[in-house]
Amino acid sequence: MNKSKYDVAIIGGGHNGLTTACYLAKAGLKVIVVERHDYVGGAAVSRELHPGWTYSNCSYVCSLLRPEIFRDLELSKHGLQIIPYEGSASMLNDGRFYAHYQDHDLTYRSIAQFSKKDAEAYDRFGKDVMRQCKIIKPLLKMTPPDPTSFKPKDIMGLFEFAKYFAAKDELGGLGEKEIYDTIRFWTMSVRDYLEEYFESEIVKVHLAGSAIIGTALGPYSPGSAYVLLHHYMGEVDGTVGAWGYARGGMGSITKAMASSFKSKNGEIKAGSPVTKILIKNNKSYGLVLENGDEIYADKIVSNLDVKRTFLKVVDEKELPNDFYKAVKNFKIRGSSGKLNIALDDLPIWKSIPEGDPAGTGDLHITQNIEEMEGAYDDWKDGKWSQFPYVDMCIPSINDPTMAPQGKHYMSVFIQYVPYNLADGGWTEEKRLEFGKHVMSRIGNYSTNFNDIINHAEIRTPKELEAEVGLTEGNIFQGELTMDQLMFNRPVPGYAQYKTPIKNLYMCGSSTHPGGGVMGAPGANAAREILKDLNKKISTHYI
Amino acid sequence: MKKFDVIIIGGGHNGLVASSYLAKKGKKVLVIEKNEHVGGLAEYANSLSCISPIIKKELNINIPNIKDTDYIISLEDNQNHTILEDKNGKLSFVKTNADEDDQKTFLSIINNYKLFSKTLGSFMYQKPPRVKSGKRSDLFQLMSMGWKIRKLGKKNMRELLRVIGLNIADDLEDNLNNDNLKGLLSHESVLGSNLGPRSPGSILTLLYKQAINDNIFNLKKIEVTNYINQLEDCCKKNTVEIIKSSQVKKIVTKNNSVTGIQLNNNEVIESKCVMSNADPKTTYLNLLGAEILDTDFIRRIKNFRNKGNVAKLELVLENEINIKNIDKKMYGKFIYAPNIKYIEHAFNANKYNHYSKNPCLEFYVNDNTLSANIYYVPYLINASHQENEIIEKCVAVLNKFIPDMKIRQQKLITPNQMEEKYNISGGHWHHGDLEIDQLLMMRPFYGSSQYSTPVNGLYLCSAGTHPGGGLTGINGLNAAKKIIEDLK
Repeated sequence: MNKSKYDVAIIGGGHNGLTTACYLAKAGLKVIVVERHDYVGGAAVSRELHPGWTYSNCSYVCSLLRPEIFRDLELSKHGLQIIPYEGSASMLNDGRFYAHYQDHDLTYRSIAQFSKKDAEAYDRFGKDVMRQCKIIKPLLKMTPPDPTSFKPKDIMGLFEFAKYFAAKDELGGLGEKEIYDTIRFWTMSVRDYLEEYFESEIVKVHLAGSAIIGTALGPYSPGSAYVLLHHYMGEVDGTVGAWGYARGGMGSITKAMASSFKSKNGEIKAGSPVTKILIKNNKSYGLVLENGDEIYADKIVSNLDVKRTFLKVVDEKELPNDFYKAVKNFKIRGSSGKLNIALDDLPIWKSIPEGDPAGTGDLHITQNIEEMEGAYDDWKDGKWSQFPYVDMCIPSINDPTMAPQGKHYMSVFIQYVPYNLADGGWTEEKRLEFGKHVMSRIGNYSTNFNDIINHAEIRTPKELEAEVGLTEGNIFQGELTMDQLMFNRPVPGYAQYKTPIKNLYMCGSSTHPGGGVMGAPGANAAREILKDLNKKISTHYI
Repeated sequence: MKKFDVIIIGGGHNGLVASSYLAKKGKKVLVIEKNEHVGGLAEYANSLSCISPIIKKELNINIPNIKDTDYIISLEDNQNHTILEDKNGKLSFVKTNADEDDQKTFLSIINNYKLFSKTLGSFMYQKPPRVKSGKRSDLFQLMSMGWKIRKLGKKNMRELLRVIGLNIADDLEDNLNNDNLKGLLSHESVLGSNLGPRSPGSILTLLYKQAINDNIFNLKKIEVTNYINQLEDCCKKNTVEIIKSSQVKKIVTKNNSVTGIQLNNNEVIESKCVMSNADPKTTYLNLLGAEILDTDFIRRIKNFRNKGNVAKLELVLENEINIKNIDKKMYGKFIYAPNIKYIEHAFNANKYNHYSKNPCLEFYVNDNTLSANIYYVPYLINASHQENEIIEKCVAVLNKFIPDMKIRQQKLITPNQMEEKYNISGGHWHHGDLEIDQLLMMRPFYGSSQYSTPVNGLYLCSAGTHPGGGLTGINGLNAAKKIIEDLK
């Protein structure tokens, strides 16, 4: 029989794979991370795709990285620094702009110029959403209990979960009204939710953006309000809901994780695509690399999305029919695009005065919710959005390491962009046309944007899939809808990081709690593996 | 001045059911109806097969089925229609383009959904349990609901928990190839809702529909007027007094308790108990008045989603109607919702409060008359539709299947008109959307579930309460039971 060389082998060096690797190495296990590319990071990378500029060419801002993981992995010791940024702004066609600032009063004044009622309602909104964040936070850490199972650990898990609903109010449980509010929040559309607070279109559409990022939903779709949480429940330096730039780009996060991993004797084998997981008698025991080499390990963990794992590197005949079918039907439709732009100068926005801190955060140009929903309608028809939603930022303003002096790097995230373009699919020509379209839309809001573009990298879901290995270019490794969340993620019955194959685990965003650069799926998976090995470690997270 | 134990505002079918139940328990009941006849919006129901069997039995309602065998015709532009036969609840294909596999899968999807509908249906007959109300009966009921779901068995329970938030388009696309079949089930799922086939929650609406009907296609089994007449007779038999052509202006209260109602002619009728068969918004905002309610509660009323979305089209043609390529023997429920993309495009318009330029329809034909449900035609605030335009678009669709249409009379009833005639805010079929956050103990909203209200002696019994819309009469039955329980 093959001699196991490693305790654990992890396929994929994305941020979740590295998180799992760090925790397992911390526990004293012999761990190897096998990565396709020459660099680790997955979708949390910084790459010099244009000489002199560093692009966070996939994910671009940080907030959701669990603070406990940050501490456990000693990421600041290994060089990670997150710089919070000011806020966000939406630029209107009439030359005004709407903004949120760190300073509460500045935000109030900005909202009040459009609607005083909304300025008042904003506090209530913030409070209500924060309450939802508070409710969901402990759930992120949990391994989802199986509601159909009678096993003690699942019953206990259900009790934990139901604690909110059953516990007396004084003991931290929710009151009846709060329970209904929570159910409503988890099932409503973000548009309906925002309508309950605000009257002004720009306020609503500015806030709605966070609900559609990376989804196959529009702001009118039930279930979109929930996605807001994914963008509000993070924190930077203890400020809940704040977002920041990783100094040196998003790759700094995964570089720090890799460094932390290596400091615990972890091994990273880069430049080594995995073609197959070795399975015998329903147990996994190793990996086959593209060059034919084999690596053996007692436990295998896949950081690949669930489709890539079970439809590409595992033999179909090893899997139960139901499971295979459910994985095939797993929804992972890509809907996002990205432009990474090297600018020779700082853009001058028609509506935001120079020096206003609003210009240093996220910038948007969608005018109202109908326009945002229209962008979704286009995607449903297999077209890129005529009036795309963009989430732009210029990290180099706060982080000069991203670009040569005086020059800038701008990241533009776009909803919606289809993976399968109707009428013949994506071609090189169409990709460039798409990029041009977005840049011209942005150019409408600036006096110099079109003139200062030095280089633009244009990504559709196809490029995202090709480079990062995210099936269909879905940034969350699977859609975040009720049918694929919690005990349904990735498929019902297999939502606890384990798979039908013994010793084979999953640790990517295809598992609970889903996507975003959180690290929670990776840490949760590590916890399950350590439990199975009867190994205990004492950390903030586990 | 006659005094009544209970005054019921509105003679819609739920009000009539409630009044009979209350009268049978010895209460002196008065029903006040704005229009010349009772029945409310039910008169627009083409199909009716879902009266609660319990109500039928206890109120002695006897309506024979019009026929045992019915047909569902899913129309296609290229005239290769799919025809299904429903014989006493058993479905089979008569003619279709779909291959054998798809046909088998189609029927098994319906059967699987039926299983879930049965479980959900069992929640309908009782008042919905409140979460954390402190009452043991509520907790017990919640546990019993959970247990019923568990009893489905692992596989089915998992599937139910998976599909309850899912959209119907995804589930159908995963399992079926034939576009027409996918359109057909999507149609049944979204008709009467503000959802499209790709909207999360569209499977739940279908499960719900199947829970209240004995058939997923909601076929015309009995005559609605027959049902309403029998309900009215039952009321009279139980000495319920019914006043027609009289509108309630206001619910009168004192110290947060009901004292009676005031009519449009200012006459006041006293009673310590008033049950409103009007929709929740109309009840609270128009009849009761927001002054006596707290701000939070008013906010919840205003947030109750109730935008009507279906219009009724009635055509009378010069000649008997002949539908191309279909044997007269097989005339039944005709549906034009040819594929998911078509329906989704129609739905897009509704989101922006426009009517669908390419509408979906279901219709019945009788000699030279045609009666259709058209969607989407949204309820408009401070505006009205160009009715002729909408009719034109519908006729364009019908022309594909009915050659030489010579229209003698045409009438379109939009949600705005339904609102005006029946006093249903939003002109919504079900008085409010049937989506997860507006169902069960959240229907219509916190503080107003279980048929009672913050005002002593005031109750609700319309479709805006649990279990929701349709013509089961269960809302009226449950509301009556609540009053009787409270008066003990």
